[in-house]
Amino acid sequence: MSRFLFTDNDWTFARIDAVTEEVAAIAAEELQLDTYPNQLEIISAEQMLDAYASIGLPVYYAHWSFGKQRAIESGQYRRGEMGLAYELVINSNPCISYLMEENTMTMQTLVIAHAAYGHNAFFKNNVFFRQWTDAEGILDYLAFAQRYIARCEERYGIDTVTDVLDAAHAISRNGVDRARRPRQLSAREEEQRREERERYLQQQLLEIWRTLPPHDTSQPVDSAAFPPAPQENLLYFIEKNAPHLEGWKREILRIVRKIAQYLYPQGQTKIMNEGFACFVHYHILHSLHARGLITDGTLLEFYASHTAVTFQPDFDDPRYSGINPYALGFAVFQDIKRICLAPTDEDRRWFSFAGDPDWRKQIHFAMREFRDESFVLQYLSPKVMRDLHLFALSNDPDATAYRVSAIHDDSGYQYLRQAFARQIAESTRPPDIQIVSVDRWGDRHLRLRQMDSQPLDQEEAQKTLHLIHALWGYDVHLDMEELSLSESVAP
Amino acid sequence: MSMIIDRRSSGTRSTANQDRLQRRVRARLKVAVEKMARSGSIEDLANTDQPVSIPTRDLHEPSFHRDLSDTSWERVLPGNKEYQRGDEINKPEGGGRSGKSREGSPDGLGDDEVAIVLSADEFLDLLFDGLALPNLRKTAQGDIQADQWRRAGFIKDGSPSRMHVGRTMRAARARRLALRAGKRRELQDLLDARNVLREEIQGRLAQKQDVSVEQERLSELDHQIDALERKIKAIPFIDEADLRFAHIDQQPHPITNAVMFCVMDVSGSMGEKEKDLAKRFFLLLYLFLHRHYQAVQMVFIKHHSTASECTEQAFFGAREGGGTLVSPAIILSEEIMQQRFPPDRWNVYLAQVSDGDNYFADNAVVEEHLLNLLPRLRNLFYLEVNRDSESDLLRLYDAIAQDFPELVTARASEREDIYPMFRTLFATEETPSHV
Repeated sequence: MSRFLFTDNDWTFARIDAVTEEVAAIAAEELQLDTYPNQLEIISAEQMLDAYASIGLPVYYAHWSFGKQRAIESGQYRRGEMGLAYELVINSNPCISYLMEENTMTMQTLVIAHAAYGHNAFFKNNVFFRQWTDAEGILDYLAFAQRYIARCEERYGIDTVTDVLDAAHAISRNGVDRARRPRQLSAREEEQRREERERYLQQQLLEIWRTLPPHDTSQPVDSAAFPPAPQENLLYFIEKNAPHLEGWKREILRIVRKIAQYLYPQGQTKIMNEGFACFVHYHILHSLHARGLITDGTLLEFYASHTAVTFQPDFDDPRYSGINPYALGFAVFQDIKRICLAPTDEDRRWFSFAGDPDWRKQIHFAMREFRDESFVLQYLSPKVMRDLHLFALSNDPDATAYRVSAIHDDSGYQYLRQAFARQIAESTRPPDIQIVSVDRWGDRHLRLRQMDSQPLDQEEAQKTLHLIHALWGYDVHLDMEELSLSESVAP
Repeated sequence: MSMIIDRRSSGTRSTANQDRLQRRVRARLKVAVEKMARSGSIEDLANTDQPVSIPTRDLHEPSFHRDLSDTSWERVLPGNKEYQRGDEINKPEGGGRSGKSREGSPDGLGDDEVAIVLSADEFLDLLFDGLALPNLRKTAQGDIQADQWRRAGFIKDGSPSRMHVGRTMRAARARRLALRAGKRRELQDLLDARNVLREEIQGRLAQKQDVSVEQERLSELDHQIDALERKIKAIPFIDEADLRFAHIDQQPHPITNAVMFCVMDVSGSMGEKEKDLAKRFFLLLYLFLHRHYQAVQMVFIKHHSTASECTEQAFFGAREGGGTLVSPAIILSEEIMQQRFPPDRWNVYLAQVSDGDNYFADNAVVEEHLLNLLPRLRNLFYLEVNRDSESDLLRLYDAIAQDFPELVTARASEREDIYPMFRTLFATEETPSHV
């Protein structure tokens, strides 16, 4: 009698249930994955487009930009330019994975292994997710945010609320604390203390901004610089210190900031997260086949999807659009396992763990303790660089040609690795713009300074300053290396 | 432990975002919709679910980001085939900006356009935003009420043709049951008594006793039974009181239907271009009327020296020669209106497009019939196409319009004129004439 979980390709709830059970067993026995409980949700293509539009969050407040995103994506989808992802997974407890109803049973199996076990384990164990996000509270918090913003729209009008959200979104990437762990968020607590906080803050500010009339009015009482040190979290600073912002606007800034904070690790761990999930589904599908639970046909269909997902087009291929995080991440995780099980002399020179028989321990360590930048610095091996034929190209704006600065050879491996890590760091980090001073005793202008040296898009920066100005209420200046931009109150 | 939930039935949740998006680009959408109305194909206009393209820059979300186009950068790429360290690759002509500048934009969309799909209602809302039918004030006062026959339950008398057999039979059966039940019970009692009596008689006869008293009682019982049975039989199967009739009643009902007469000159002087103008005008008018009424019927009347009713295809396809007489078309409209669309039941609109050529002598006939026709119309729209100067016909219409605000005239010579002209016709500014 056949033990196959399914032989034809239509999915049913019973089959999904049976597959999930087997996948769970393999994940626990063979990979020792530690995961949140799973919640699998079957959704339609339209709903998948919805989920796309709101960055995958199951509950989100309403904003035109999400409508725009959906219009773009559904247009592309209808024209056939874009396939939908087979799955979407949310970092929450329980971990919610969306399965598309159009998927075949093979695809559902793949998705369950990939999302409900791969991503799920990553969310639960990776240090950045553990530090920056609160999987327990996020669903409640999102529901609170949606309710609160809907209430604000009722009370103050959709347009007013939209203006605040527009401004907050513009600087949301500069609204994340990169250096310290944010406070846990708890929705219930949030709601209870919100009003209290509003009142208190308003009082605080009056205190801060009151010009205490001293005996010598020509000399400010407190000439100490404010803020004492530059502040990188623009949203936080404005929320706490904008002179005349209404309480509910501060609350909206806080909501946008909290959600940006929650999403921050996803951008930091794209390669690792996808790579690890691919590694997990690859292992699990093979194991299902080895245990005689899926047919050869299913395995072949899986190969077709897997290779499509982990395909890396060459730089001169018309399909090329950057390094595919699935391809690179999967290659590196597979390589870690190979280095443990079948190390070459080269691996032994490069990696101290080469030949460690406990490859699971090494995989877990790699998955837990890094983010993309440090992961590449640590684990991108010569073999992977050779396989992908990586090379580095540098541009001098004055020269007429690009120069190949390193290729995948002995003299280039170290250089390539570092160049790639730098590239990741640059693309995942917003420009470093910090608040350096507020003229508390004068015209209350806010001064921002760009701390890194890469040029900013001027036009964009000006528009963004305009939005910051709308929140701050007084002049805003941005100092860059060579010039500075300002946005002033209209006379 | 895993949980599987079927979410497919919960539908999409994008409406709120969609509303806010449309709200933000309403001005843009309006311009785009009006542009389509001006120069787009007529088929597009009549279709529902219009995708309207909005440039993404209108929906741009600014943020601080880098501009790497003029700076030195280094990038790691896959798929090296022949390069060695130190090789140089010539930059593409034109600075190669396009490939790189996209890196800076967070959505990577460049200058693409977003297509916003509008439903038919949303499209028309935007197209006719701020417009109203000029004579709707009058119609709103209640003279668009008409009596309509409606079913109104059942009554006990009426004409035989409206008798409701089902209801009648039900009533008859109820009556029969009610009238019989008591008598049947009585009859049963008598029958039982007679049986008892008969047994008693038998018993007494067996003992050779006298049965004369019993015989007397028996014949009395037989009498009673006969009488009762006759009574029961006499209950009629159907009685006049059982009759039920379906009742219909007249109730006032607002007229929500409109008819639009399209009258067009198809004489030799009306070319493709003029017809296109006419078609655009008719179509806009049709869509506009459609927003006010449940259903809008169209009647197409073409005329040169004679007038005839025709199909839509023949209307726009026809090109006939000959001289032009306007009055036959007006007279034909009047006839059709009398026969099929009496104005007390229909909101009648007439739209006429012509190049204004008419035999001079015919104008007087036109005037006479118009004065007769106008009081029964909601509006008459007259559009004169492609004339350098006003025709006598237009002057005549303008003169009549002094007394009849229902008559609205306009001129157009280019396709682009139609929509703006349409807007001026129906703009809702407070007109000083009301004061």
